[in-house]
Amino acid sequence: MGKPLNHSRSDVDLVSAVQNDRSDDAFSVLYDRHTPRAFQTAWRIVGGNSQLAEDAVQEAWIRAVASLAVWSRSDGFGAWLRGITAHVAVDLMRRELRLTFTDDVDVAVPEHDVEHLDLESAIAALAPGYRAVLVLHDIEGFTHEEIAKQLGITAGTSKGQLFKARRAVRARLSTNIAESQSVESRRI
Amino acid sequence: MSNHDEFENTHDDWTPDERRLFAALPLERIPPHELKARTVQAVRGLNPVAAHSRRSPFRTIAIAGAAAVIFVAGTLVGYLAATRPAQPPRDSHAPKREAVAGAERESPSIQQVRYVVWY
Repeated sequence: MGKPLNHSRSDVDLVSAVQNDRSDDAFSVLYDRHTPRAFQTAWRIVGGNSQLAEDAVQEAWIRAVASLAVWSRSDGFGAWLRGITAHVAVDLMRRELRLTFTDDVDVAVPEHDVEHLDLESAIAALAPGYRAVLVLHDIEGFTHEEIAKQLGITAGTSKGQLFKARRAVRARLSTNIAESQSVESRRI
Repeated sequence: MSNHDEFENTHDDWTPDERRLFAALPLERIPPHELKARTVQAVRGLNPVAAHSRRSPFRTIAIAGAAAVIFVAGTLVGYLAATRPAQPPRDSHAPKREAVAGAERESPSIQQVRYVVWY
């Protein structure tokens, strides 16, 4: 506990220090190393809602620390944490939708963003289930089997949702390109 | 089945331009500073296994010593109780019984009352 931590220590060492010595310093290094990426994953899955993303990351860390014993050291710690984060983020999203939303396709896009639709906002505009699968597969690089396990769906459902998500993103991007081209031509 | 094939065929159907767009997306986002403090606080409330392993060795020795003292004291008390010479049990009803017998001898009517009460 007392000796200063070397920031180049491996995740395995840091996890052991958190597990066995309850080291705050080791947890701090792990947090700094892996949270920015987990936060980005959560932020995308919840459609850009920072408060929900923060809640997801905090809950993911709590679950991760509580189950450090089951972390298989052959998997990267960061990927494992992001898997938990994705799972929590989807759960939070489902809860949030049940409480506030009725139409789940366009709700995540604020009105002023529609004009400046880029890939990020095209992803944010997807229905939550599609968005989670697209983010996990096309950005985070998880397999359909891993996604199925994390989201509690089948690999076939994951493939189907990815297919529809890609189609929706492409449609939005092409709409955006067409709109920006027409705006440009009007200016000329 | 046809849907499944459709998904399989489009498994990696982004165009090179689209893939470049995806690759350009930032992988990290810096969370607000307060999140770390909140998370550390929440995580500190967990980890019962680690909390157990963190117990000071002095505390463990003190607990073991106290347990040994209690055990020895209990053994000693038990030994003393077992080796004390046995005493005949004291009959607490004897004086009452003698008083009643004496009263009956003096007045037979008391004996009748006693029967009435007892039956």
